[in-house]
Amino acid sequence: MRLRLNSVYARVLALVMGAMLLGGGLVVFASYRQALHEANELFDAQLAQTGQTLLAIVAHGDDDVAGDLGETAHKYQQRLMFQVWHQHHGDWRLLLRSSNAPAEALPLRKTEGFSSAEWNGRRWRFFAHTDPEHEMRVVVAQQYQFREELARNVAWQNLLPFAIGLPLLAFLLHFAIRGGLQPLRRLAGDLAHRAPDRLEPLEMGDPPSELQPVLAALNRLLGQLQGALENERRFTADAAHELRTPLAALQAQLQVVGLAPTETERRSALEKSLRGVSRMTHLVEQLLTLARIEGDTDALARSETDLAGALQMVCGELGSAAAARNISLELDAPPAVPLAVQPDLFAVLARNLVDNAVRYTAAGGRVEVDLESADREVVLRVADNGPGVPPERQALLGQRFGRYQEAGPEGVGLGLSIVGRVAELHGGRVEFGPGLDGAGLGVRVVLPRLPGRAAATGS
Amino acid sequence: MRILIVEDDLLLGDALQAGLKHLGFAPDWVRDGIAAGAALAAEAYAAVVLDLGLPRLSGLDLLQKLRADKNPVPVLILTARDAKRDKLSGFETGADDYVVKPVDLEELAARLRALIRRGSGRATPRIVCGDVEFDPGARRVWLKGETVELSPHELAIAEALMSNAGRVLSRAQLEAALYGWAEGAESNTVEVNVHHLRRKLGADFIKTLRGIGYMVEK
Repeated sequence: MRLRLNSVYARVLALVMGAMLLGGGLVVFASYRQALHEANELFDAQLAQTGQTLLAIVAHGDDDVAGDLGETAHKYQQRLMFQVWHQHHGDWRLLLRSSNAPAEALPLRKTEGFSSAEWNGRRWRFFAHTDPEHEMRVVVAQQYQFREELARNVAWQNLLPFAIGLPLLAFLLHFAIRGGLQPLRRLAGDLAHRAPDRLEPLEMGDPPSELQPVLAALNRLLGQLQGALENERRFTADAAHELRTPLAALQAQLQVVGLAPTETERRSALEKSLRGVSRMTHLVEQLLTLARIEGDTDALARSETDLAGALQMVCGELGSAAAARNISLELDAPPAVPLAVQPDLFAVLARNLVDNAVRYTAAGGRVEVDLESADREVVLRVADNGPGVPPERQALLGQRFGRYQEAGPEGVGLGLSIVGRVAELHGGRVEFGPGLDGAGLGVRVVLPRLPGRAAATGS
Repeated sequence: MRILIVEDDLLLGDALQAGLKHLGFAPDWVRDGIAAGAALAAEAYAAVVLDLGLPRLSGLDLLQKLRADKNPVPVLILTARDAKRDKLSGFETGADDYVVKPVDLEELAARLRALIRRGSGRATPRIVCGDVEFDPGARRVWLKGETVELSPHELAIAEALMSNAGRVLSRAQLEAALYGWAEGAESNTVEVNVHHLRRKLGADFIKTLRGIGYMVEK
């Protein structure tokens, strides 16, 4: 495994080693303090015992000066220093001293018991003890330095196995962390070896609890992707399907032009071919519109638009088609209904709705377009008295190519998909209901006012 | 030859009917599955051109019903669906051919003729009865190897009689072979054309069974 600083492996290793070092340091410090304390106790006891022993011996022995006490027999035995004093007629006389002790009085000679002081540039521990009966006094002293050395040695002895163990620990941790990260690596491997179109959920027999949310989120995402992809595939298949029939009609009509024996038949077939071309054109335009708005999601350039004016334009464009089939097309809208929409898309929505109504209404029928402005929303309603759609089939209306009409007047089945998408882009919704005179179809498009603008235009 | 076109698209159905008529068929055209079922129950068709995506009753359902009723009529599926499983289920349901739109009209006519020929148990496209030879694809007739010029109506009657050689066809059946439902036949059209055929192909070529109909011997 290549070691990168920004990896879980490196982080865990660094954190564990850091924690071990910190913990180890604390342990060594504590053990030094403890050792020092114990050493003090021990050496104090030793000092006291030595003092008392000396006093006992000297009180019953000859008056003499002890010579050099010889080489030290143990490294901790170091250089105890002592003086034994005798009071004679009020004067203290040095009776006995160790070779490293001075002939003059040591400091704190008169303090009974333990005490510490500087002497000769070092810190010493003193113990003074008096035998009043024999008028004797002993002072025993020892450098602190030795106690500290002892404590340091003890601490160091404790540190040593730890210092040796740390690299070993790191070595073992390497394997432990790798083992711990195994599920993560398996997941990464699974993902890396996936073909781009394989979107089924990721399977991990028994995922560790830390990975479960990741896995769940990934699988949710994969599911959404799969849905989107299937939608696209279905759309492509549907589009191919919807393009084939008009193409077949076009080709067949043009072949009829070649086959027909009379001029009248040839003319009629040519005219029908032209109708086939305009149907194809309409279909391709609708497909392009849909592709354009399907791609457009977030950045919707809204601007304050007068919906009533836009509707008037659309109804004007479609008025001649309606008039040609003797359909009465009526628009009922307040003078001005401003709303923040993408103006081109709103026109596409309105054109598709009105065009649908005019297409599917029989000659001599009626199409009504209403626009209502309320506080929170604007409602556009397009209703006709055409054949209508049974309520149980209305759910299919918004689907692409979900054309409901058994012998339809050349609709391509995309209009309401486009309407639905545009409404969705504006945060609105599309509802289907009955049309006019208890027949036909009524489509309501509800577009909400953006928060903040309601106050400005609501009153 | 009388065939049924089942196609809901106005422009395509119209073109199929017109084109196949010019290519020697007598096509009827219906626009949904229910109407197709009714037509097939009422008339004897030589073949059916069937779209799959139909209103009211889908093409596959219609085909299934047809085969369940032991109707052997050759069925050619003409559809926009090109997926393999659609083709497989089409053949499994009982289709005899499967053509994806768009289609060349002449190819469609050739396929239909092959289906009809196979349906009547012949392997070669030409029909031979005595000295007369008929090529349904080329719409040509030979008498003892010599080409004979026939009008479209004469050809249609010759084709109907020769492809049903040995069987008696009524005047109504021959009229149906001449026209679909659309055009009304004049009362004596069949007699006039039979008369012309006898003059061009020999007096014994077509037998008359008084009160029953006409027949060509095998």
